[in-house]
Amino acid sequence: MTYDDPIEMQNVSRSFGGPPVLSDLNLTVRPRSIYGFLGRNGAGKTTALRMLAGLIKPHRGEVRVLGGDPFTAGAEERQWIGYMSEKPMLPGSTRVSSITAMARALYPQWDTAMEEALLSKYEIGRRARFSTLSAGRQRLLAFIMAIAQRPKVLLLDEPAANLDVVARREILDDILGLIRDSECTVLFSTHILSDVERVADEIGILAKGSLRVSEPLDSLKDSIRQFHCFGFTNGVPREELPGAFRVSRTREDVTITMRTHPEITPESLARRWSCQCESRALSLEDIFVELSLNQS
Amino acid sequence: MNKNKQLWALIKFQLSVYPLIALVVMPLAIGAMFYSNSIVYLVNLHYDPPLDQMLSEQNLFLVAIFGMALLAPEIARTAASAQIPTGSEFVLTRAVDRPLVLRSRAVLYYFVVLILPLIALPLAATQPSLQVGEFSATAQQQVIEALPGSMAMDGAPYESRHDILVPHGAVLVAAWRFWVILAVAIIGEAFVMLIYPFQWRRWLLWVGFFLLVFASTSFLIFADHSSKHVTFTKRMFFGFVAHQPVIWLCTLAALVMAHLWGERRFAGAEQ
Repeated sequence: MTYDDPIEMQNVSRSFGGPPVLSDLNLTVRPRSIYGFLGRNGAGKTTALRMLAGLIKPHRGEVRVLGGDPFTAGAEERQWIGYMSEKPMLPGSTRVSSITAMARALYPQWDTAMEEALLSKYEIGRRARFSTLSAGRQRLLAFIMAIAQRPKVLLLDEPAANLDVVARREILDDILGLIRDSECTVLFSTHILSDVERVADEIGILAKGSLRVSEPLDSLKDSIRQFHCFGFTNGVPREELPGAFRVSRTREDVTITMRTHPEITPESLARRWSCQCESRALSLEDIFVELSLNQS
Repeated sequence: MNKNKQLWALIKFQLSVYPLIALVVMPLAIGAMFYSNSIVYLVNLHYDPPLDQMLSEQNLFLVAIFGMALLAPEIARTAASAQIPTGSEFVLTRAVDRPLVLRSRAVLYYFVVLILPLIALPLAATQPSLQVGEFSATAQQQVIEALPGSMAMDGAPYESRHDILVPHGAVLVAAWRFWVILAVAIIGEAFVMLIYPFQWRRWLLWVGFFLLVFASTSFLIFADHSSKHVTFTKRMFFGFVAHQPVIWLCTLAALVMAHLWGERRFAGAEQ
């Protein structure tokens, strides 16, 4: 199956009986990139990832993974899609050895050396039952099951949840290693922004079911600024600025978060509104908060 | 990818998902309910139960419970148990053809519910004759007419007893029990797969479950046990004995068709 981008979602909408969880979502992830998927709780990240994993269907729009519909994909196509759910994945009585045995049988390309190295690194015993593993080790096992199949697309839903900082960094290093050694494309959702900053080539911020931004991290940081205007001589202006996605006004000042615009600088705003104005770059966390709070 | 290899890997995995004790207890539970008459017989050697009692199956709901637990554990979740994983999401996101996931579960399901009734068939053949004690001469006559080779016996321990010797009767009853469980298992699979894609499937499942319990109990309570009429259960059994080849063929066809239909439905359903 031919494809340009390994992950594509076009105008995807989905609801679960209430308001839409995803609403005209458009998402494209380039080959061999690491895409960080951010959003508040309930923003639709897990729904989008479950759709990409072929567990649910869109009500409207099209979902493509490696050029095919993941919901109808058979074993041949599915062997190249790695998925790690945000929830514990297996009944407690299942032994680690049973899980790995099934994986070895199902995946011709299964990397046994990687599986053994990672089980040893994360100190997960083969005879252990799933219920006896800590929540963190259960996550690590799920990660091993997704990564050792040498996928072309790796979908990770909150991979670092329940993990200590050391394990989190090790997981991120493993993801980077996988990208370095293979043709893998990674899409991962997280609330931990430092993880995104550490590894992601591109980030998408999902709010109310649609992507507010989707671009490389550096470009995003360069392109979004916050202007703080105060000391108005003619009162606080009510004017809307093009490209502003959040404006907060008090009696004395205005704070505007917006994409950089050649005609809008602190000096031009100071002249326009007869005030003082300063601008500052935003951290990823600030950008995330501003975009998530934006209701438009 | 080789489907047999996939199926075998999935079956082995399904076996590992359930605690060993559950896989032992489930067949024993099915066996115990069907062979309770034999247990009664062992305790009281003078007691030859009437045919109705031998054929009764008031506990068939166990087959439905196991069907639910083994074929679609994810649909019986309550809000409280929703956090306990069933492994479905994990398996369905591996490199598998989805219909094979249901097939592997079905193999385990039919194995669990049929293994003891299946073992009972050759065991029954070792002592094929069956002695039945009916409570009226009319009932005795009905059995003798319907089951070829059966004959009235003299010397019953009580005056009210009308004993009958049925050559190969034990084999016939064992085959009937096997067939009843198989038929209920097929209906159970079809029902579970019928409701599988629906949003309210959990509630539909419990409705179906209680209907089954009610229906099987009603058979006992409301069935006409008077000596003049042949009871529904007996009529079914006599029909089964008279048309065994056709019934077995139809049952096997129903098994295959219900399962293939279920596979399609399962593969097209969301998780």
